Amino acid sequence: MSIERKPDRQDRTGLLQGTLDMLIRRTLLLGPAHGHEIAKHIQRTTDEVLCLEHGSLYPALHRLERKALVTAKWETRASQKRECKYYRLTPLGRKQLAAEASKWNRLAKAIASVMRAPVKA
Amino acid sequence: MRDDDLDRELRVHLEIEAEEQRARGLPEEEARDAARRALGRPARIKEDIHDQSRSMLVDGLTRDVQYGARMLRRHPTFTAVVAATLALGVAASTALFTIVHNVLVRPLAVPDSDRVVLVYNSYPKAGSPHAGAAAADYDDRLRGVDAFEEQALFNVRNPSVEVGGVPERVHAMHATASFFRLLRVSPREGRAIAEEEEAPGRNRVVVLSAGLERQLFADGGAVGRRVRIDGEPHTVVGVMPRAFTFIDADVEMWLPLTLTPHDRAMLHANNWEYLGRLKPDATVPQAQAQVDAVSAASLSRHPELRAVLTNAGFHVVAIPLQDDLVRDMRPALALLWAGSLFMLVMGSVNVASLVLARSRTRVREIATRVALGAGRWRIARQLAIEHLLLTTASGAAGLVLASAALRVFARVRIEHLPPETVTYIDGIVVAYTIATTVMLGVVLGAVPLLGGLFSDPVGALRDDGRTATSMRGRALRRALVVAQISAACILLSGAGLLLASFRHVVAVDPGFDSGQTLTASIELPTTRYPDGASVRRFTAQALDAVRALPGALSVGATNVIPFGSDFNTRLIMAEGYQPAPGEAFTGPYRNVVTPGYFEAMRVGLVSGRVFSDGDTAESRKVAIVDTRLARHFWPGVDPVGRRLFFPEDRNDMTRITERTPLFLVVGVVREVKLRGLVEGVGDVGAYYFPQAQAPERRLTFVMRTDGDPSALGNAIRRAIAGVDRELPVFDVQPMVRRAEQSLASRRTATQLAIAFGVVALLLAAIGIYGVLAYLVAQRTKEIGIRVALGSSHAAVFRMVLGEGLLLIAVGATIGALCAPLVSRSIQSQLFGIRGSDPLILASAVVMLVVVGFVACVLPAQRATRIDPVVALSE
Repeated sequence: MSIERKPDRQDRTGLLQGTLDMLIRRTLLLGPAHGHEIAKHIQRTTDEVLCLEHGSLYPALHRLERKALVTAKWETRASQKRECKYYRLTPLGRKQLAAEASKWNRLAKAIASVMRAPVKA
Repeated sequence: MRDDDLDRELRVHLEIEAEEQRARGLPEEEARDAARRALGRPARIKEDIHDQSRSMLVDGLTRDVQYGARMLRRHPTFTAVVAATLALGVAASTALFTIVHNVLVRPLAVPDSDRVVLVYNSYPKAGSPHAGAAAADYDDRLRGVDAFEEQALFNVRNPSVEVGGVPERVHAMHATASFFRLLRVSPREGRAIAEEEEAPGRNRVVVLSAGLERQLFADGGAVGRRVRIDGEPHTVVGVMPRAFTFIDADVEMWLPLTLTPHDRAMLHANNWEYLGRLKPDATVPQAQAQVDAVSAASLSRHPELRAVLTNAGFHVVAIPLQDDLVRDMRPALALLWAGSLFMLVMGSVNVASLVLARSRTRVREIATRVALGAGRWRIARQLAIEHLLLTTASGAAGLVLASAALRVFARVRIEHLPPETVTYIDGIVVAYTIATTVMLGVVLGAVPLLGGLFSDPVGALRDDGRTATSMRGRALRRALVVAQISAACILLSGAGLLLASFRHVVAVDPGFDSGQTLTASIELPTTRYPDGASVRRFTAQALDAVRALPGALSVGATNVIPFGSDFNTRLIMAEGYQPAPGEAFTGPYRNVVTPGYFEAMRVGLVSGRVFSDGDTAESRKVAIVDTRLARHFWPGVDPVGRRLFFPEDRNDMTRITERTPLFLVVGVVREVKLRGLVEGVGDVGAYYFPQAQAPERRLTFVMRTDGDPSALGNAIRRAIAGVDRELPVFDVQPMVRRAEQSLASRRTATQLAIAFGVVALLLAAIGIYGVLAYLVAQRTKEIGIRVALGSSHAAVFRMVLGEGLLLIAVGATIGALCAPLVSRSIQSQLFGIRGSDPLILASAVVMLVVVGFVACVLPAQRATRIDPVVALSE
């Protein structure tokens, strides 16, 4: 998996592809959700910092589905009066998310420690 | 089906979003618009998904290639510098590999060529270390040398053959019937020459080359047909395969070698080449021992020759033919190839250094990718492909460059080897280039891996170049750059020496004026010109015809044209000259010229007179000597009026009887550099006879014109054809061209050395640049801190420059110390300059320092542009 960043796509997402995939799966960790719910959740939890274009979500979901990291099914739930396509994490998706999250955290910490390092004379 | 599914999903999304907007109080219409805006165009989304599916289907390699190409395009300067460096390196090593491969690996295209031995007479003390062989030895050796399974004699002559109505001079090999058996080659059609066809009267048979067959008989089927050679009809008995060449690629036909009783009796008349094929169990030393025994036996039968031969250092050499052909070139070629490999290695080191410098700037890209889950293997593969892309492009460019360079090489004639053979790029050469290229790509791709860049991305992000690994790496890179600078220094001074030497050579006075003269050669066949009278008659008529041409100022002819390929030496003595004890008698160059020759060539007359029409067959025998021979025989005395003679008694070279012909010296001319500007006429000079008194069948006409000599080529051909329609006229060219050709190989060697020197200089400059750029990239933070703490731009500039100048100083010193050692090895190639010339060395060092300084300035300037705020926040 590499960061395929075609400039135009990156512009619209404002996010690296891998990161978006990770955020989607983190959201699905809380339970099954449909596209609109996922978009709203990411927006809300990042205090609207990541204001992603909803359209970019669907290619990402599509990708995850192809990689068998998530599954999708049309369902009608109590929260919605209409039938929606619900996504849920597969066991593989859950496992990979754990690995990526820990790597991400280490990197973030490393960057933070560099940024905080005292400026030596 | 999937599209329907997506449409439905997007529709649902829009509905939910619109509901939410309406809940916020937007009117129906605006809510739907807002939802559509938030989602983006469904068509675009579908397209994205489509693209994505397709790209996921495409092989990962294709994606890597695309990504690699993108990365290369994004850094055009880096890409250009790297590609140029690699292309140069690949081109140099490919070009030289081609030549080495062709010359050293397959000089002889006959089966088991390593078993073919050349046997020749050597007279080192008489200035003739590599003479041919005499037919007189043939019968003795056939009986006395059983290490050979076959022995053969051959030589090359140039008879005339009528091709398409025009007489042409064709290279023909006269060979014993054993020749084809010895080489283990047989004709494509017909048969080889038979044993009995060596006999006089039965020898009118010929084997043609495939090329000549096509020229003579367009419809093929030459066997059994007739060809007129020197006017005599010969029967074609065979046609050789197209690919067959042996030693002289110009040879177009093979004729029986008929030895006369005179040939068989003449010892040391070295008019032939002698070959032997070793028996399967025999060795060269065995053959040598047996040949030596035969020579010793022959010498004991001719005691009168002993003194002369001992003084000349006579011995017989048996050497594998292949070794003999490449003997002179082997060390030079091996050295060149080693040099080109060295440059390729140095170029790669530079590129590695640049790649490393750039990978510092790519640390974040790579580390982020690793953090986001890209496998290390994946990134390694990606980087390897990126560099393979770069090296493949450079390799292809290198191959093109190499073939262009080889075309330049093709101008240099390597003896015995046709240029197209030497510079032929075959499958092995291409394989060599591909192997070199792939190896480079893999090695360069591995460089960032070695830097520990993503085995420990976190460490790499933190690393400011102070770890033990990076210190070690830095020391190694500096050592390599110092090596490059030293090598460049040595190569530059070598090139400088060759250039200076070349200029000395060009400045040599050839003894004649080659401007505005045209030359044209003929060779009169014995069949139609059997005696001196017929040759004299032809000469007079041809001279008259050429003199009558409009534009001809003065016309003459000679049997030995300066800077040509055929020379004649014959021992001559002066009346009253007393040779020093043990003096090795060296034959001076013997020339035969017509009246008008010295005028046409503008050879200066020092004393006496030149030949005139008054010197006839019946008049008194006369001669002209050059200043060098005059000094040898009559130091400090005017030779005009003295006499020369050919020694008849080998035991007393000075003995003259009343029957000894004497030649009166009537003039002294300036020394003409017959063999070339450097070789000249050796130590003993030259003498001249008039054509009327010593008729020669092979003549080169020289015509001085009042305009462009090359415009008169056809006129001179027609003038000579007017005298003898069947006579081929060949080598029609201005004298200037001959002079240029005589310098060609020296000029090419000089150009090659300069090219190598310049490439080495460029590589050294790139090396310095690479190391400093890496240094600046690595120490960005440190430099930022320095600037933040008040260090001036000038101080930063000086710091980086200082690093570079230190490398240059060390490298130049080592180079300057080693240069004289290396130059000594090319001393023999130099003319008019010593290998240790201090001025040349100093110029090389100065050039190196200037170019090196420029290479330092760029990274030093970049260092001064480091913004402390940016550097520290990175």
